[in-house]
Order: sequence, then C-alpha cells, then structure tokens
Amino acid sequence: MNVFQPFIEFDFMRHALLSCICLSLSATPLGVLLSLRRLSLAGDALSHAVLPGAAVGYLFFGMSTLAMGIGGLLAGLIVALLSGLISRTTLLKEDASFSGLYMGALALGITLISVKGSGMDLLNILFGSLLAVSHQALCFTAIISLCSLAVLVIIYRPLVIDTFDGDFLRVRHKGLAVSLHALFLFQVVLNLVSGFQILGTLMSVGLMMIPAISARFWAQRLLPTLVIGAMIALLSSVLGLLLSWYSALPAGPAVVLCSAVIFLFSCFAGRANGGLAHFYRHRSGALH
Amino acid sequence: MIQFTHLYAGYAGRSITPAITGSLPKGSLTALTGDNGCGKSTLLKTLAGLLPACGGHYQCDSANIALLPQQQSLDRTFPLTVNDIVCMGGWSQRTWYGRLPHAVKVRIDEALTLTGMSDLFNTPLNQLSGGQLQRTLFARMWVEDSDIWLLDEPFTGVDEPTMARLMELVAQASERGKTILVVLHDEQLVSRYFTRQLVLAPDSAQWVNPTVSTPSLYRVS
Repeated sequence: MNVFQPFIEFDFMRHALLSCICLSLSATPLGVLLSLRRLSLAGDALSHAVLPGAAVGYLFFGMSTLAMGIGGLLAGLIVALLSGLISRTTLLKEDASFSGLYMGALALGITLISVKGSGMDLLNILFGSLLAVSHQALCFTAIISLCSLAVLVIIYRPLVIDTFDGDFLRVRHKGLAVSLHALFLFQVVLNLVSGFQILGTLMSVGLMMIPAISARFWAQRLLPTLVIGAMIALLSSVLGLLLSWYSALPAGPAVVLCSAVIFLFSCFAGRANGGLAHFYRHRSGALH
Repeated sequence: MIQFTHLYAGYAGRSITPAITGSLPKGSLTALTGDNGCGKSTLLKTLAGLLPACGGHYQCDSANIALLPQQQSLDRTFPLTVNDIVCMGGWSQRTWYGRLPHAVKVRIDEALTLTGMSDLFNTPLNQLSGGQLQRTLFARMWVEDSDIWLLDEPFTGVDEPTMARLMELVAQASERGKTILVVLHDEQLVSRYFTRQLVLAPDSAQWVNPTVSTPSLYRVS
C-alpha cells in the first residue's frame, strides 16, 4: 500500500495538504525576514491579535470563514498600527509594544467567543481545523499566498536592504522605509489570517516561524535560506499529516510538532551554524 | 557643500551639540572629534536627514548623501555575502526588473579592487573579520557614488594597514570632489590626513586647522 494513499483517496486530506503547501510557500519566507528583522515575537503577537477580530466575525456570522477572516485581518492591522505608533512615539521598542497589546487581544477574543459560542467552537478557532478545510477556504488561502508571494518578489531587494541596514535606505529614500515596513507587516497579518483557518490563531505562526528559523542553520545566503525554509515547511506538512492519519493524532499540532522536531535536528546537525558544524570547525581548528 | 547656521543637533527636541556655524566646502575632508556624548554621531545623523535639526538650520547642495554606519549597529549573522552588500550601493540605479546598469557593475569591480575585497566577494558576512566588514561597507559607499560622505567612527576595530588603505580611498574620493565628514577619536590620524577639523565640546564647537594646531592640546585616545 502506498504511504500517500490518504492523499489520493480522501478529499479532506488533499485539501489539508494543499492549504499547508500554500501556507508553506508564502508564510515561511516572511518568517525568515521577520526573524532577521528581530520581530520573531511580533509574528506570535500578531497571530494572537487576529483573534478578537475573528471573534467579532463569529459573533455576527457564526463559523463563516470570510467574516472571521476579514474581522481577523482588521484586528491584526489595528494592533500592528497601534504598536508601530507606540514604538515610534514612545521609548518602547516595537517588540515590547507588541507584547503589551497581544495578551489583551487574546483575552478579549476568548471572552467574546465564550459569550456566545461553545467550547468546541473556541477550540476550532484557537487550534484550527486542518482536516475540515472547505473548498472555499482553500481558494481563499491560495489567492492570499499567491498575492503575498508576488508582493514579496517586488519588494524583496529594498526590504532586505532595510532589514540589514535600515539607515542606509532611510538616508536616501525616507518614505520608502516606512511604507516597506507597513507593507511587510500587512503581508504577515494576511498570511496569519489565512493560516488561522488552517492551524488556528495560536499555531498558525508555527508554520511561519519554526521552519524559517530552522533554515538559518542550513544556509549562509538569504535566497537559499528562504527556499530551504519553505522546503522544511513542506516536509513537516506532509510528515505531520501522514503522522496524524496513521496514528490518529490531531492534524494541526502534528504538523507543528514535526517542524519543531526538524528545528531541534537542525540546531544539532545544521550544515551552516548547527552544533555539529561548530564542533567540527573547532576540532579542525585545533588540529591545524 | 554643507552650510551650517547656528545648527543644534539632538534627540526629541533636546539639543546635544552646541550651536554650530560654518561650512563644509565641496571636496573638503573634515574630521569631527570631541569627547563621548558631545553629539558627534547625532550631528552626523542630523546631516543625513535621519533626525530633524533641534534648532538653527543647515543647507546641503545635494540630497545624494551616504552614511557609513557604526559596525555595532549591524547584525553580523545576517545571511548575506560581501557581493550582496556591495551591490546594495547600486540599488537605486537598478532597472525596474532588477538589472544593474553596466556603469554600476564597473564601479562595483572598482570598489572591490580598491578595498582589496575582490577575492572575498563570495564570503558570507559571518565569516568576515571586523576590518573586512569595514572594507565591504566602504566598497558599498564607493558604489553609491554620493556627493556627501558621512562616516561614523570608520576605524574602530580596524588594523593599521587596512586603515591606511581605507584612508587612501577616502582621500581619493575627496579629490573627486566629494564632501567628507569623518567622526574620529585618533588625533594622530587627524593631523596626518585631514585638512579641517571640527572639535565638539559641550559648550562650544570649534573649527581648527589640524596641521597648525598642536595635537597635545587635545586628548589623544
């Protein structure tokens, strides 16, 4: 029997796999840049910030993907803008102002859902329903991924310059740096919204960040890092879905768990900066 | 050419530097010295347009400014190579589909040769020494071809031969008519290479001629 039989046989497994592929291709490169901009925590914060918006959508329209998606997008953007405003007008750095806001957003979201819904709905929103991705939700995810990849290709070079040396861009193109950052955060929120239908608000950031930081252990140039990150995300999606199918585990957590295992393995064995590589470099250094 | 008229530089409306009046003529090579906390870097950032002036004003005849950042402000683990960083200098001249014009490619080769980084151009950033990174940043600035160069402590953690080489490059740029302002601590270096010096103190800003002034007047650090 083919290992990949479940993907061939069942629509819902195929939908789950396809939506994970979309997310891997668009969210992971953003995760790499997010970690290079030292905003890893902001990704986490934004994914929590999506919750109250989604909850408002849920209050008025029930479990509708579109309503919750739009609500989540608006809430995420409001938190991103607010924290940008706080960090620019006060002494707080951006990551600190994010963490000031996101716990509140999470609490507000859970309160709003609990007012009306059942515990089951809350679980679905928090942890996603990877095995119940509808055709409509899949299209939604695919379109978002395509758009965000296209935008990333367009702004790639200036964004990398801004990430490496922000002043370099700001000296000559003052407005550009600010709008790049805003556009970048918009993309992150967009991807988190499409991810929250699949992995839930609490874990959508998992597929964005974990493969991204794992890839840092395998490559020393940026483009390979982005590609390897996406590949690790794809690998953990396939492995996670198969694992959940054959051992009857919840699908979303299985995917994120697989990527976490790959992360630990990368820390240890990564070719570029992993523990083993360091060990060998030290040893060869000692021999010479 | 930069003209200052009672310029105060500082953060958030609070001025750090004393009032500065004077000018940096086109093609001049000026050292900016002074104790820590006198606002040398702040003045540089103000001139680069990153901070608003706290009082007075200044006039640049060109918006084409290059700023060499302090090394500590950069992430040394960033996955880039020397070539990637040097090519950043030509970014604003790229065609809309991302190709570098021939003239810029020529300048990139020139910059790599001048800084002696030609052999290392494929080296990842995290394998560069401090001096090599500094040479890379100088190469990037050469590619930018700006009219005004602002350098913030360019020789911290750089060995003597590299410093001489980079200083030669700076002198060459100044001969080509670039206006250059360098934040420095080393008085010997100032008297050896520079034609003008602006000394910042908490209560006064003084223009001195380094070849005339006796170095022992100021603290050598």
